[in-house]
Amino acid sequence: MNGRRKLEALGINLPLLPTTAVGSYPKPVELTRARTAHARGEIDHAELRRLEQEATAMWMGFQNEIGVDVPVDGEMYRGDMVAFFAEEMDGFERGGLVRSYGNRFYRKPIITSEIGWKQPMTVDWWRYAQSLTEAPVKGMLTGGYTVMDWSFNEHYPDRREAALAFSRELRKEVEALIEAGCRIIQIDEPALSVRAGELDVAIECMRVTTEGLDAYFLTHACFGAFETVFPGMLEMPVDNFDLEMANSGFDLVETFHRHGFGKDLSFGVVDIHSHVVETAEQVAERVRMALQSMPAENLWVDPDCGLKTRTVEEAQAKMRAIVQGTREVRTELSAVAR
Amino acid sequence: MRLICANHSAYPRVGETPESQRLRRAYARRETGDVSTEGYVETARDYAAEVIAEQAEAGCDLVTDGQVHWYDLISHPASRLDGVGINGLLRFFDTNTYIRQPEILGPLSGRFDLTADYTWATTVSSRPVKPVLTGPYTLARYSIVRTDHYSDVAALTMALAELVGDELHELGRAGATLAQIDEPELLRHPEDAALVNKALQVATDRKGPLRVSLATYFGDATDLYRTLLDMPVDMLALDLQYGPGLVAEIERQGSDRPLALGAVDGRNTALDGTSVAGIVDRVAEALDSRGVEELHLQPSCSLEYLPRDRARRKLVRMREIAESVTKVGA
Repeated sequence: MNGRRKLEALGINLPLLPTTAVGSYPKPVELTRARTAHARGEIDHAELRRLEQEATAMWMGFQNEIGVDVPVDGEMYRGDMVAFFAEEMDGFERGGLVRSYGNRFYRKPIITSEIGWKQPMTVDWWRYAQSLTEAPVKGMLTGGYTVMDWSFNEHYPDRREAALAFSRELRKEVEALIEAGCRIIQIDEPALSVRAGELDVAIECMRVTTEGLDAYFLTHACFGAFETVFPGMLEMPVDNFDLEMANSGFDLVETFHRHGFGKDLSFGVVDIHSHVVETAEQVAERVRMALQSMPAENLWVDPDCGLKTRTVEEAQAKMRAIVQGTREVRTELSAVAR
Repeated sequence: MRLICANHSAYPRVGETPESQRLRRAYARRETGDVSTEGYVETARDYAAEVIAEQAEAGCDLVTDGQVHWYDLISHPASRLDGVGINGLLRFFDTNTYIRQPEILGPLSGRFDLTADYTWATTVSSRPVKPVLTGPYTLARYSIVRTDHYSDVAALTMALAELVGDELHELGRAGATLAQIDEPELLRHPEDAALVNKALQVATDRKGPLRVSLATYFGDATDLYRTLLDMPVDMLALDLQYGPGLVAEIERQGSDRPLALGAVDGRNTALDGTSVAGIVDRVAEALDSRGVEELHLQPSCSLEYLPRDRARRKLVRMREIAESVTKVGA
């Protein structure tokens, strides 16, 4: 079943070229300060949670105001996409700081015992976000292959076993999201292309996590050498690939065009590492370019990756450009259709 | 046979204590303009001195400056050259670390200018310092060429080889005795071994008595080992974590020159077991039979992929392993 029909079967009707965000938005300064204060024991969990809810409501309000078709909760409650799940599940120890790039560091978790899901981790946040909008809110998780690759493994005999162990447990979170009513679920696998020889492991992980479950699944990947896993990556059992395009100069579009893509594509149109805010016209141009190799009914539009590294103002301006630029192209398409 | 415990290259630039995060803070303040470039360099050197001492205390006979002020292995040296711009992020091999891609905009000129760092490091180190350079082929492979001046990867590699040669020449003049050239890309493109060989001939042509170690990592070098032995370098640094058959291949082929064995896993926090000592023994025997009298034991790659406390523990464990081998004198 193609993606649009699957969405309709799930009771979700989206316009052509749905706009969305990848997952994270920047945290307001007061929340960032509160997280630091909480880590130092200066404020309690209830106070931190109140500020996280306020920030989530702010981002939901913003997305409602500009008209994002598939909004996200913005991940105000997460520090890092892997560390968050490692902290919420059994089997992990908090790791020390390692560098990601430039002056950015993250805590790389250490798998020290059997991985286990304890309770829903994102469901309450999804419910809260969904209560603030009529639009379908996307659920967001991190996949087993990436969690394995971005953790140290001191327990499982090899990488595959560690990745599958997490994927099996993550399935319980997917089931809980679906039980709560979430129908669009993104399982991030940015490590997808790190070892082309392990693509089968990444695909197996996604299958273990999602097979037979009733939702529209996306996977997000970015800043990788996709050409090394294409077209094999199309075997990934998801409906939609959410890929970074702006940062890599859109060089994959031609590859997709030649080979055919066969799934929906969430097309990253703004560079999340640049302070420069793209214009709506630039976004429209990029969408038009994507449409040369991708049918409109298969195309979604979003940023390259989570916007959490930008300022609130930059992230909002980039999202406005995405929504306005996409609307321009949508209008052009409907004029042609008439 | 002498066994030398060496650091591979980079070292974590942040730890858990506020004091060990001073370089990170200085970097951020330089970005906002609150600290001058000179102020940042001063902090970077202060921090480098600390990690140099930490390597020595952990048992390293041969240390590095930790490359703590490099933005990354690719854009830091490339950005020193004329004719280069710096582009977006790209994942560095299968790590969760990203480099910025150089854009080659015109003819390359200028200097990598890394020798001053080496000279400074020797003034604060109690142990010999090994300067580390990114190889011309790896630099070329990670670059985006936006000029007609270089028709392909080979042309760009050879141009960069000249500049690496300038740096090796300067390092030799500055008194360095061993430099490491990192060429991890060679393992992704073994078909380009002849090009790398040619580039290294150019790069090492004016090095004088300076010895050069060619480091490959993040891939299995087993099938390429024979070819690596033909490279115009004085030492080979090998990552044993990706190639389960590599030790047997070393035993089979032997080596006419010292090896730097990446037998300690630089990518995982799990501490290496005693089996590593057995591997060192096997390789030491293979070298001994060819009259080679020097063997280095080092992490499989840069230690920057570990938290700082774990990096230190790795080096301590490496020294413990070195002291338990039987075939060589530590």
